[in-house]
Amino acid sequence: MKCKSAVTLGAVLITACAATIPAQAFTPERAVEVMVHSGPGAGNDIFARGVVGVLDKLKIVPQNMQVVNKTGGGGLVAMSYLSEKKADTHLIAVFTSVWWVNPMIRKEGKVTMRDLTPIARLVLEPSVMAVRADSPYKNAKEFFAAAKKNPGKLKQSGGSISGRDNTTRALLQKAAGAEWQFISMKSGGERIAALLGGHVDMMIMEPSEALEQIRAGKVRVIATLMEKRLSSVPDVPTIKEQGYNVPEVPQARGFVGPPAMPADVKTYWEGIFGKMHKSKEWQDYVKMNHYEDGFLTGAGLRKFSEEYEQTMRGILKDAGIKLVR
Amino acid sequence: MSWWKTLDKSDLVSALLLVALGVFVVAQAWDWPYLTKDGPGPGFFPLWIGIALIVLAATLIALHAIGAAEGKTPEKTNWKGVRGVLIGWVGLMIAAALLEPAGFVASFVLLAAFLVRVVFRQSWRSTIIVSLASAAGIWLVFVKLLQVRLPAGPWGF
Amino acid sequence: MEMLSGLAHGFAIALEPMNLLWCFVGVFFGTIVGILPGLGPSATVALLLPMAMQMNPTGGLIMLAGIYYGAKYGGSTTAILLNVPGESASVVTCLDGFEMARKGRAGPALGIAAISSFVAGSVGVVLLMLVAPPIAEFALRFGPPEYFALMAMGLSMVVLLAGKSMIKALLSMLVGLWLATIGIDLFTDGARFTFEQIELMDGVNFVIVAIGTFAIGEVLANMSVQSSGQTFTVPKGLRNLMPNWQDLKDCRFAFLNGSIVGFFVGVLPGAGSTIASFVSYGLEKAVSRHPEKFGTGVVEGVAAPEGANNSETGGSLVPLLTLGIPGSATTAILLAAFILWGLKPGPLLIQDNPEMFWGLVASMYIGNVILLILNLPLVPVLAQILRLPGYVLYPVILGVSIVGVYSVDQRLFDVWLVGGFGLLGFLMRRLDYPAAPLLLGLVLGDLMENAMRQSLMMSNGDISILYSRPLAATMLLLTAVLLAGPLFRQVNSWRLKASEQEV
Repeated sequence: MKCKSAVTLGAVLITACAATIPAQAFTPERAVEVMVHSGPGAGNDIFARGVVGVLDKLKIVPQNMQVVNKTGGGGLVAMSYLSEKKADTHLIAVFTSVWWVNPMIRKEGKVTMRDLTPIARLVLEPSVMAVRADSPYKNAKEFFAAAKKNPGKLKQSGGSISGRDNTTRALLQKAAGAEWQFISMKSGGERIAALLGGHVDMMIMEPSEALEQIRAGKVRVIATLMEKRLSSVPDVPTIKEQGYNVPEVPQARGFVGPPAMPADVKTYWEGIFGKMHKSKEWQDYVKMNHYEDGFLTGAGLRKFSEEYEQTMRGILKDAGIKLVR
Repeated sequence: MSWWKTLDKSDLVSALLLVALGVFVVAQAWDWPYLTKDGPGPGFFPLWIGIALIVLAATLIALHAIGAAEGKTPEKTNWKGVRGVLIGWVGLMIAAALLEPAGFVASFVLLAAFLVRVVFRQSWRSTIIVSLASAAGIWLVFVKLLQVRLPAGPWGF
Repeated sequence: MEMLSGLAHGFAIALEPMNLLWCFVGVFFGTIVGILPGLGPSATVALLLPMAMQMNPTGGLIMLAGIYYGAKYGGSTTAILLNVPGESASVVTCLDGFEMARKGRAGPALGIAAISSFVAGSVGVVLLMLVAPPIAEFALRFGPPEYFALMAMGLSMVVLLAGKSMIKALLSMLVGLWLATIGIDLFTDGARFTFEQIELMDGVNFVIVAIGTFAIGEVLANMSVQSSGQTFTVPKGLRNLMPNWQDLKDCRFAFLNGSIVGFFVGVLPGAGSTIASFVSYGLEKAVSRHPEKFGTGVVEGVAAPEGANNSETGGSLVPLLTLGIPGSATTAILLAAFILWGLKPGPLLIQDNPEMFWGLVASMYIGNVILLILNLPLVPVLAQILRLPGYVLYPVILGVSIVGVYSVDQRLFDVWLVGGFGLLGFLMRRLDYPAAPLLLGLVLGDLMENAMRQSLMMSNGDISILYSRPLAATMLLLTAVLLAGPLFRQVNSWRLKASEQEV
């Protein structure tokens, strides 16, 4: 019985030692790269800089955080770059919904969200249906009625056909039993200009884009496309309130790390973003940009990631877009 | 067929390459939708570009052939010194290959030295001075002053 | 008269010592960035964004705007001296500017570029101040059919850029148009000519093609010559290093042309300064009394595009400031800066922040003056660069080009690509295929195809939408008129040749 007790004693001693050695918590030792898949000035870039700005104000990260742009392929280049940098502990990236969508539809996108390490989802970006202020449609019903009367004649400006504006359009068309034309335009500026200039009839916008135009009286929001009304346009009914059963298609933004990110690094960032989320500066930032708070980490985030992938698969298939993976 | 000899071969080759490009473009565009219910599809423009390439390049060849058959001597393409150019270009491509493993500074020093010594045939003294000085200058202006991110080799720069 | 009081207030703000300092910093950095090929104003503005965030919005905006229009001044320097475009719009300046340098007139070319930039840049600011809101409304009437007509007009410029062989120019343009189709199709998400490479999914970057064919092509071309001495003749004496009165007189129309064309093209979202330069150059050649001399080193050929790309800066600020719509990559970053500062870009921006607007406008006047003062005396100094022997100059150009190209996206792929285009540029030179039409095709092809398909989607396939709307019809008519002259001459010369043979 001596052996057994020796082993037990040894085990107890080792456990005691391990318990008393403090876990070497990770803190950044050099500049941290915050990678963004769009060019400077685009939505993601602004978001990343905003986050870095808030973190700088709060002074909770001891090192410099640098925004790095890695454009290409609608996020695929960034995802591929991230997957190559497995050992890098000072690299995080901003993810958006296209990080789920694009690998599904592009052969070249060999890296998916399942290969990477999601850290935290921070915000959800709502969308609204907007028309020109002088257009005859005061709510969604009138727009759909006009579309039903003239199928394919009304026009909507937007981005690519796999983007949110078109997938939302597919859902709206199904719920309304009407159809209208979708015109892809390369930049947000062109799309808004097309709406304001009368070349298209409707646009699905983000509130931040729409609000200034509304304030100037140039644009009218006829429906919001989230479950609940938006605080930025409290008088506008949601699409569900108007009687159309259209599911929410949120645009999520958050942070993700390279594959197999070490547990302590991940915990560190989760902690940082958690602290940031609780701060007033961050709440103000979210409000100012008309985002919806969507803070999610850990198991909740994993569940969101899986569900989102399934939802987008279904929506893309319904919209007639070919999936390759 | 003596007129064949007076044809400027380089022009001919370039025109043939353009015909080949046109054929390639048309072949690829053939598989894409020409017209969709919303208007011209992705195959529309490339198809016409390819056709135009083939037609114009063929016209160029024809004009040359006609000209040569009539006895007109065309201006020959001047290929003087092309060997030096190709050597220099290969050097550039090798430097590109070395860019990420060795870092910008090291590959540029090698490239500059190669160009000054081998292509421009200057003395060793000029080679060393020019390659080191220009590498240092570029590094100072771009990396230090303008904070541009350039690949760094295992020695840190 | 509230405009005058606004402007007076603006000058008071712009002349504050800190704001003057930021203006100077901005234009100085802008000029340097403009001189260096590859590094463009949008990359630099992005780089300095964190620093600008720490400043107050007016000062920060003054600095960032200074970089934007300062870069346009610098871009012409390397274009003229070395046939290396400092930024995309300077490609057109290379055409006549470099020829002038080869003929020993580098000084006058640089001087005229600076003067024209100043004149047109200032006119751009004046127009921004006076007619911004109505022009913005007018620009909104430009829908896809109008863009198509504008692009058609731009492409017809190739006829004017043709030079000796029209067929080779057209072939060059077609290759450019083909390169423009590379990438993911905007409307169907289908991949075209990407060979399954992720890097090609967004298409071939114009900067890479421009630097490749012009800069690297030029360096390669010079590797065939034993250059141990000076590259070109640089005349002595200040008088020969500055433009003379005759030059200024010749450019009277070019100044006007550049100012107006640049401003209007700048107002249209998505059009860009490269198109403005091409159109202005083409227009100048079309109305010139000696069009055949363009491309051999005429001073108007430098003044027109240089003016256009400066005036375009003023124009591109119009949709940004009056509607909150960014028209170009750099204005998109400025928009981001507004948002990060907590300002609300949109139609009410000027109303809510009049001091910022007027401060900016006033500082742009000041900035243009500073740039003129900075650049003109530098002309004789810069012209001396041409005294450097080739074996010093060309490796440096290669190095700077590689850095410039790599700085765009930090991709090694781009360096390979620029090397490939360099070889292409050299071959095109030897085989007498003009490079300008290729670049023109690349820039316009994308926009033209998109505009056409968008138009047909709008009209559900009815092709008459392209020519039935008044604006579009006018531009198409203008295109026909512009094409008529040279085509007529070409047909006439064929006719004469044919009649000669019959005899």
